[in-house]
Amino acid sequence: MLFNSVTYLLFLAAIAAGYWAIPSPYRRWLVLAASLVFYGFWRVEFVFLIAFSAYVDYYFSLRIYDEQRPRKRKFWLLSSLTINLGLLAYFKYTYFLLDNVSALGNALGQDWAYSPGTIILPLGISFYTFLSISYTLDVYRRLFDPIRNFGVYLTYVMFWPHMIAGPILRAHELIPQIVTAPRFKLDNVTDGMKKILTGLFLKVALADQLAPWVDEAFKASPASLGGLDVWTMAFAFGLQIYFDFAGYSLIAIGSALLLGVHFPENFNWPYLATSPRDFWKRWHITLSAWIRDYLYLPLCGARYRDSSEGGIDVETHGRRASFWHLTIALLVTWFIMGLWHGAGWKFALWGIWHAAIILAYRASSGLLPELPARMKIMIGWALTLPIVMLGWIPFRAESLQASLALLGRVIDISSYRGLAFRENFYLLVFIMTCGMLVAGLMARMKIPLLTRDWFRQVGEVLAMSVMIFAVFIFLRPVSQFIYFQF
Amino acid sequence: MKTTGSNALLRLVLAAVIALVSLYAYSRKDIRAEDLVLGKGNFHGFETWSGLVFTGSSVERISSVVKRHAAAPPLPDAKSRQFMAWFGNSQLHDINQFKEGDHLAPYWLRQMASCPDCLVPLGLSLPNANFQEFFLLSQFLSRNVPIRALLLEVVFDDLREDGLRDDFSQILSAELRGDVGRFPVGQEILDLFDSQSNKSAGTQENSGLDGFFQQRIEEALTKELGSIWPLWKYRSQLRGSLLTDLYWLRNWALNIKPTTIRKMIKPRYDKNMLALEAILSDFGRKGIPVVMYVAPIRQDHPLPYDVIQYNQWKEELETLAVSYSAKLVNLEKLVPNQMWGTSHEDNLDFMHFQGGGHKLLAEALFPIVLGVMK
Repeated sequence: MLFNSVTYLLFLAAIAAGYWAIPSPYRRWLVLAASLVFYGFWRVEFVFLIAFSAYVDYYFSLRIYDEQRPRKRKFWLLSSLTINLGLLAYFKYTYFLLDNVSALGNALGQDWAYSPGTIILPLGISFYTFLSISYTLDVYRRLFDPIRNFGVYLTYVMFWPHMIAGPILRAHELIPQIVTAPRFKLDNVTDGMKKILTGLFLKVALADQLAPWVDEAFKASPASLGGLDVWTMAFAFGLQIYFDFAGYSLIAIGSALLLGVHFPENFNWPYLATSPRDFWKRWHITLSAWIRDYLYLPLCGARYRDSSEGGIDVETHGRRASFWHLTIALLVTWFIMGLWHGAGWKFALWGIWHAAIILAYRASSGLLPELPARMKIMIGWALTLPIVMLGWIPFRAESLQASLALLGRVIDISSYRGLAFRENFYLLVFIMTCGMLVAGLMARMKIPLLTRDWFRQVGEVLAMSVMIFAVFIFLRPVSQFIYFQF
Repeated sequence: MKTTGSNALLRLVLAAVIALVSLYAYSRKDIRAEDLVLGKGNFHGFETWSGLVFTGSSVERISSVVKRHAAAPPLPDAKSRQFMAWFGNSQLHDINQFKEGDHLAPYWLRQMASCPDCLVPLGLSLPNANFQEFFLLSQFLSRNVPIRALLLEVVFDDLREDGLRDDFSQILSAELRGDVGRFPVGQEILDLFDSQSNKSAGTQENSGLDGFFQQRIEEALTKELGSIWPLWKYRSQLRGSLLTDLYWLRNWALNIKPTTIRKMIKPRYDKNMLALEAILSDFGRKGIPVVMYVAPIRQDHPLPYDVIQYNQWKEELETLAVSYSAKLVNLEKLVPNQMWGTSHEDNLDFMHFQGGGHKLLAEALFPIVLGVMK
């Protein structure tokens, strides 16, 4: 079910009303039933696949926990990981793998073309897999006692607000909230409604309005574009994916809040980041925290953490790893992070791009120690924003070749003379960028007038009425959320 | 800001009330989309002859006009119909400050013929039509009607447009795709069209639900909601109004006027000129004469183009005409100043003239058309 639809809003209203109307012991069953229906609205048959996979994880986790012999525990852990990653590999990477085998065959003069038939990617499998892996690993690490009720476990996995595209929650963050039914609080309901409204506004009034421009721009032949066009495309898609995904996350968080369930925030004004490291503490926070705890820190040989907050932090808090060890761990992490987003080399390039800028940041962060802190922040932001935005080019371009061609236009100074798109495109991107930055700064600055209660309350009412106006006009499921494809 | 849940709820309700009142007030605003596209005071028309419509100004109408004429019964007295196509933009189907007795240029041209039943100038026009669309229309026409000549209005401003509008899916059959795809530029046009039809944010209301079980439920719910709440049903008009207002706001904020210079967009320009070349080469190969005319434009104000680019374009047209043995006439100064539409600075119409202009245009083109059809 798409969040940006009338169906979902009615579904949510009905479930939330029913949830608070029935006795608490039955609530989690209602949530489970609603989650099955939510997923079934896409394709019913995949509900069984997810349920089967969940049962395997549930069973293996119990075996891991009950088993005392280390080798056996590792065996059950590896079995669980193999099944989870095997399913992900089959559904998500088969085409990619066979395409590369075929290309290699061509390069060697061999016919290695194989057809796997039609494979439909189950919605949310990447997120669901991460959820399952973290649960099994947490049980293995003895951070969490396994659930001994399959219904509860299935509810944790399939809880509809987070199942398709996150936020990615750890077992200890969500399961207790499901088991001990929360008490009704009006604050939660109003906060939830405000988050849903803001999320819908970001999605239908901003992301969906930018989408046709972005789509058209990325269809143009790179040779016909100039450097300024590519910069505009990078900023346009950077804004689109931010509005789209932050919108999704807010609707997810708000939906859970209507049921009294708290999710961590997933975005925190990422384009105000003052360094690449800071960016990943603000962008898709729960994913970067997951990558930190289950991939990066183990690769560094450092002690893991257990929180879906804080993003990727290069401080390892454990034994000191060598520079090369950390560098290789970072590159491997980002390479995998890139491929997790999509089965294509362009996504790997996007991952390596971020690894490279984090490395560059590490190498340069000690420079110019005499600069005032405020100046450092300004320079950091002014460098981070365009570099991160340009990184979206491989993420959105049609292929690796197109990505490289587009990035090539950026460094071709002679290409900056002409404009390839209608003037409105540049104007729209400029206005949206400025609007987002001003909104972000206003939310953080401590200007006396802005902190006054009456001012904030009037401002909030006006902002919400504008959002309701826009959502009413633009609400329609013209497009899926970008992260659904991952 | 410390507030209780009930305060927060109150603010939310207040915001909803303000939004609803604004929506109802806004829905009373009457905006004609045509005023935005065509400028104020324009009459959008079509022409009939012996009960048969022979001009069309949308893909759907064009398709209908062409197919009806292809299936029309033969004329009595062993006379035969001679079809000619006349492609243009909204200049061809709009009359500024319409008066009784006014007609579109294709009507006058037909009336000038010694046998108006025999000469059928199919006036096929689309607002802001670009040459890529003309190319597709030319292939569509070739497949359906035996035309004797092609009259092509060329407007510099339309080269800023790109691709095919969505409506072309109505006529884009597999056969037509095959015809169009024979040309490199045709294949490029088709690829762009296909990719835009599959784009993530489509123009159809529920395109994000394609393949979802939810799609049917969403459609039913939306329909039901529209039947019980008229404002909900009116949302597409509200969207139109809002986008129109944003357009005016942009013009006001950036001081954009009809006389503001519109720069050429090079990649679009190049693709459109390639499409024009494909039309000329294809029709040249088929032995169908083509007459291109530089469309009339009002001369009492500086042109809203970069004059150097505009002149270079006209030179390029001349080169193309010579290369493909087409005829090129420059009619930019044909229509006198008093025959144009509104002329106050904020609403200066460079494209659409009054009824007299249509007659002048037909009179200027008639002998040329007769000449090439002999």
